[in-house]
Amino acid sequence: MAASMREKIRGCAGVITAPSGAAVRVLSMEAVRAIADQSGAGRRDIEIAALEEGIIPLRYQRNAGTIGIEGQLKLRRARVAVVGAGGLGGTIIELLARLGIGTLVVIDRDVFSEDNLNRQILSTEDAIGRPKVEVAAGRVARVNSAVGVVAHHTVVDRGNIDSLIQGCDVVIDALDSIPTRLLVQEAATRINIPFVHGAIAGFLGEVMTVFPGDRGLMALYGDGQGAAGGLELRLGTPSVTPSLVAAFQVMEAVKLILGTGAPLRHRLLCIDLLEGSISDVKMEPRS
Amino acid sequence: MRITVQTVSDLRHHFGGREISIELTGATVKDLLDYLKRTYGYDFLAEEHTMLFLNGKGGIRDLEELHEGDHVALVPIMAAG
Repeated sequence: MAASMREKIRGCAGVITAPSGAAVRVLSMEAVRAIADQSGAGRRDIEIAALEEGIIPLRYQRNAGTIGIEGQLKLRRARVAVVGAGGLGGTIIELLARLGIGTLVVIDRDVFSEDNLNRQILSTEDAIGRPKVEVAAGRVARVNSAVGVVAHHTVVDRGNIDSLIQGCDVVIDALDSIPTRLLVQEAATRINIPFVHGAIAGFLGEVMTVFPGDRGLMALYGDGQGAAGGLELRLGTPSVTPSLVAAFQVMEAVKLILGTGAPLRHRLLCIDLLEGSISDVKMEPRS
Repeated sequence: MRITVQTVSDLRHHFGGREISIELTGATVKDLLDYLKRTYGYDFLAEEHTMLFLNGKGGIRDLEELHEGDHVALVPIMAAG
């Protein structure tokens, strides 16, 4: 079965001239679908097999210059948890799907409401009242049907968080609750995966990557007990800010999966969109 | 002693820059906060959503000792997602 699938992939592959001028072997979306229908294999598995043959699924061709075939394979094999599918989470999910992450584990307890429409990319007028994870899964299926989505419409708590994110390579914090953030960071440490924090308030944002054993959010929020929120209580959360912070968070996840670049470890990246400035604050490495 | 105060995001408006260098006569964080209030009109203790980091460490108490070359960062708390 596997050998015949690879034969089909090689047979269906075409050659295009990339913008760089290089000739590259590609596999179209239609070909992936046809091979999936004929072989019964999943679209993700077909794309992985193609990449292993040095054939780039056409949808990722514009990734190739920076990510490369080996990098795209790492992304296709990765499993990423996104906790929260609102302002940050919606954009994070969209970007991860377009990058070709293998599986997205999306966790959110909420449904869309009218006051989400100003900033949450997955919220639309006809989605009001629908669970955010359900809308997210539908969006990913339309953007990239070769990405698996495991949707959990549930409240995150101490009793379920470990099992929800188990098996993931990285967990991304798109939450709006300080105590829940701390709980997810603790779980990431227990199961030994990195945790990418992001938060926004007004036109301000912050990003930090926390490795297992790092003090991370404990340095920011202490034990977090009784913390009702931050500046967003006064400044609100207009559009623009979540998109920028979400992009930084996705880039952190990409760096971790590819094993390249410099993660924002022991550094809190602080973004001020009004000033157009970014600075970082050094954080204590260990507790 | 000379210490550095880093201010990020909109907090820098209080100080006219991202980083200020201060010659402080006192010896504790409280002395620094008094100086910032007296000189810049910035009352950290009245700010509900600001954190203070001393050499990258949060949860600092008023009576924490300062030393020559210390780095203090004032960072707004944000929590929306």
